[in-house]
Amino acid sequence: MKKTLLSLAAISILSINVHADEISDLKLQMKKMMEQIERLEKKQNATNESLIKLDKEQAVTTKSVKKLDKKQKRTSKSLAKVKVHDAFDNIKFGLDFRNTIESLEYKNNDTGEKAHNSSLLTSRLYLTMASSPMKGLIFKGKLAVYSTWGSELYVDDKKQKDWSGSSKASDTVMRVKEAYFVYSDKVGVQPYSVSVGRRPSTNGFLANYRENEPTAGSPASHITNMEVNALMLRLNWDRYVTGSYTKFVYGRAHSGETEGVYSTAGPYASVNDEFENEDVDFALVLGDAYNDGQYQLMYQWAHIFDTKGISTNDTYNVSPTDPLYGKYIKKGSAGTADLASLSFKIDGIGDEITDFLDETTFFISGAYTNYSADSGHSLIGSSDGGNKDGHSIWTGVIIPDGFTDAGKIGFEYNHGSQYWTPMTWAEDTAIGSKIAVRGDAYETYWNFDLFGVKYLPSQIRYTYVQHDYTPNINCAGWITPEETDITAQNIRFAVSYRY
Amino acid sequence: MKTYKKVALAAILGLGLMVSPASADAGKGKKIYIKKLKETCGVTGAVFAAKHTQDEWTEAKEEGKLTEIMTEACPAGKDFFDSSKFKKKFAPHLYDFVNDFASDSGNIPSC
Repeated sequence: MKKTLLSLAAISILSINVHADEISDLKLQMKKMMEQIERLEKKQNATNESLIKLDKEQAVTTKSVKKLDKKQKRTSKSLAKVKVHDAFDNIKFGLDFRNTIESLEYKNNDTGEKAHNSSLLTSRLYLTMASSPMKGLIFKGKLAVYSTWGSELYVDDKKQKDWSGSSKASDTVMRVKEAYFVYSDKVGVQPYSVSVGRRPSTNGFLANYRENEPTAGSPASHITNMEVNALMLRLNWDRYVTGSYTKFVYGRAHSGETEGVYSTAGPYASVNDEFENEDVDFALVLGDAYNDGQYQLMYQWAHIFDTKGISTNDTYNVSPTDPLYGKYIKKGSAGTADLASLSFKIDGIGDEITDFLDETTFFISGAYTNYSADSGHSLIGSSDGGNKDGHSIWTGVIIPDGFTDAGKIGFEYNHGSQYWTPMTWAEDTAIGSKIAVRGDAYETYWNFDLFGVKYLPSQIRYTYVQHDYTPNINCAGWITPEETDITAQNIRFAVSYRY
Repeated sequence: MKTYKKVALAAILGLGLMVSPASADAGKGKKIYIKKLKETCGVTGAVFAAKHTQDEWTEAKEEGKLTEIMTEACPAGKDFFDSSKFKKKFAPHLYDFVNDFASDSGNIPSC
């Protein structure tokens, strides 16, 4: 029994010892855990602090970004303003540099006489200018050199006048082809523009196709194509009829005889000379009757004062040895001329039927001229104080060439009657104005961009003219158009740099 | 004359080969504006183009938002700008045109 009790006591003591060890282990573990938790808590706190710091920093950054964004927007706005200002704070120049090789031939079928030039080489440089210092005010100008290769430095061709000096190949002198300003505003609801200067009066409406020019000059080119100085008032009627407007133009095409700069009689005083060399002024009314971008109807009327013709009463008051002695004055102020045209153009046939028709242009134009001589004078063969009238039609179609992107092929036909006498002396056709033909003219041309580069517009053009009456190639109201049979033809190959 | 007819013919054939594929054309864009939009928008093409700077037109083109920006410039033309023809055919030409006459282009339209 004692043994048993002793054993039990021993077991109990042992088991108590075992429990005591476990508890101390647990205590140790717990302590470690607590320490770990403490460390984690510290870490967590540190992390939280970092996060709070980051949040604060992020808020500061966001604020900065917003500030920068605002600043950038302000800078962009300012930059745009500067760009807009800068873009118009100068004269903007453009270039149109064209080189051509032309072949031309004349044949008088009555006499069999022929004349030709198998290689007329020319260079033409246009320096275009534009500026606009404020809204509603623009200036435009064009300086021109149009020379034949190897030409004289200065060609003194008396037939070459101020009205065609930059449009006909001659010498290497740079001339002012255009220089004018336009001011536009409104009176109530009526928009108007006024302009003065050397007008964009060449290669006008319809002539721009045969000249491969993207935009037409101001007047209809069927009756006038000359470089002239004039005043212009334009009134828009767009609010009544789509695209309609009227221009009133008054200018001077020829300055009569005046005293010299240092004349004792009075510098620049008008001379009432025996040659009746008076100023030649003109008045024009022209405009679009309708223009919706597809259909365009343009009208024009021109009145020329004191146009030159023969004085049938007076002979030249010159020395008997002068060849003009005893002859009638042939370039005197002889009367007036009235020219009128009505031109219609369709730019794009139908409405999106095919791309080909969309890019096709058709036009037809009719024109009339009347030269009315004063008493004691004759104009283009009229009787004393009589008048002569002429008429013309001009039609053409311009179609896409089908194999280049911007290439166009044009076909044109002109017909003029015996006394048809428009003022198209600046028309750039080496064989003389084909629009002024008294007979028939046929023309075809291919306008294309060389290498497909839009800055290299080029052209091949063939013109055939049948003169049934005296060719009308210069302003010469003293010449009577007489029956003839002359043919002229011209091939032109032109390459331009235009930018 | 015969020589030059030959030269001209050779030039036509030769130059016919020197052409590039279709590209956008500001001139076409101007025509499109006059025909399709001038009356609707009630302003000239130059005024329409000057409603934005070149950067703004270009950004809109790059982000495919020409319809939106042009509608904003001419709300009456919304139907046209929404049309598939505009997106497929007219947009590149019209973009070239407005870019040429944007408010900071420095280009000065004729009167």
